[in-house]
Amino acid sequence: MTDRLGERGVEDVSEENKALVRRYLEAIDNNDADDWKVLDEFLALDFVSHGGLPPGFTPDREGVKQAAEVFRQATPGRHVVVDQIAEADRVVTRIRGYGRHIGDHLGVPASGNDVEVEGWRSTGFGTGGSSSTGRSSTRRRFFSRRAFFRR
Amino acid sequence: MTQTSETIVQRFIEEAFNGHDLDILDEIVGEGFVNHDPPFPGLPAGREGLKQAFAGFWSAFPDIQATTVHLIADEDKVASVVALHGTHQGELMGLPPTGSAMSIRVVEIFRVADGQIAERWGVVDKAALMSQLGAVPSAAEA
Repeated sequence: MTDRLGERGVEDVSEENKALVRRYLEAIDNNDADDWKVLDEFLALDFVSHGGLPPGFTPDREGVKQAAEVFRQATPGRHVVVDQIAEADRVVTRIRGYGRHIGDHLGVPASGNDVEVEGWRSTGFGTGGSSSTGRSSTRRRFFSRRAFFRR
Repeated sequence: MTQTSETIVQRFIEEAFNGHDLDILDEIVGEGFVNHDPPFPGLPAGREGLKQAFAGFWSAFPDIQATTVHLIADEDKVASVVALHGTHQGELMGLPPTGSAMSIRVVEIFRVADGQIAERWGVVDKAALMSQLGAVPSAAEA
């Protein structure tokens, strides 16, 4: 573990990873365009979503971007982090989402209702982008995620 | 023997839930246990409600097994990501047995104090569960 983390301790990395998840959610909340390039900073090129995306979206970075756009148009709002637990390269985050249903959402016509959801994300981290591309970076990115939400 | 928080949660999953042993809950779950997100409506508070929740799962899915995907600890809390698999062979919240296979993931957080589980937060993905049991249309079909 020490070799991989260098001079930083496990607790430092855990706190960094917690902060990275919070910044990721802020980036989603703050994006007001259909270009989701901003998520490239957070999601590795070979990011894998093991759940949490609605049916019909590919479980990869592009699928997350497409889902984010559906939510931005259908139920714009914000995320609030309620709790985070981290150990080494994994973070579990408890999230509440608030929005208003103003657009078609996966076949459900806009209702105008305020919506509140609660869910969890379990996020794993790696350093840099996809090794298959030879891309090199010290920036930490999510490489996998599990999530689900209760509506 | 001093048990770590992770060990206690592992026993909760493996020995109590998978092993169908409610007596272990008296040892590893505090008497004043608070379940912030009970999986079924109408359960009593505390450890007794937890026992009834376990019994509810076992009755609806007699072959249910929980496989731990991730277990992480941070100060006094432990988070688990668990895959639940089972066959719907008993009534579940009014839904008669369908014989359908169920496979969902559950993320839970436990607070451990004085060697016992004191609080639990978690969400059972009821939408996925009911969709797999044919009780509601899946989003793809809706």
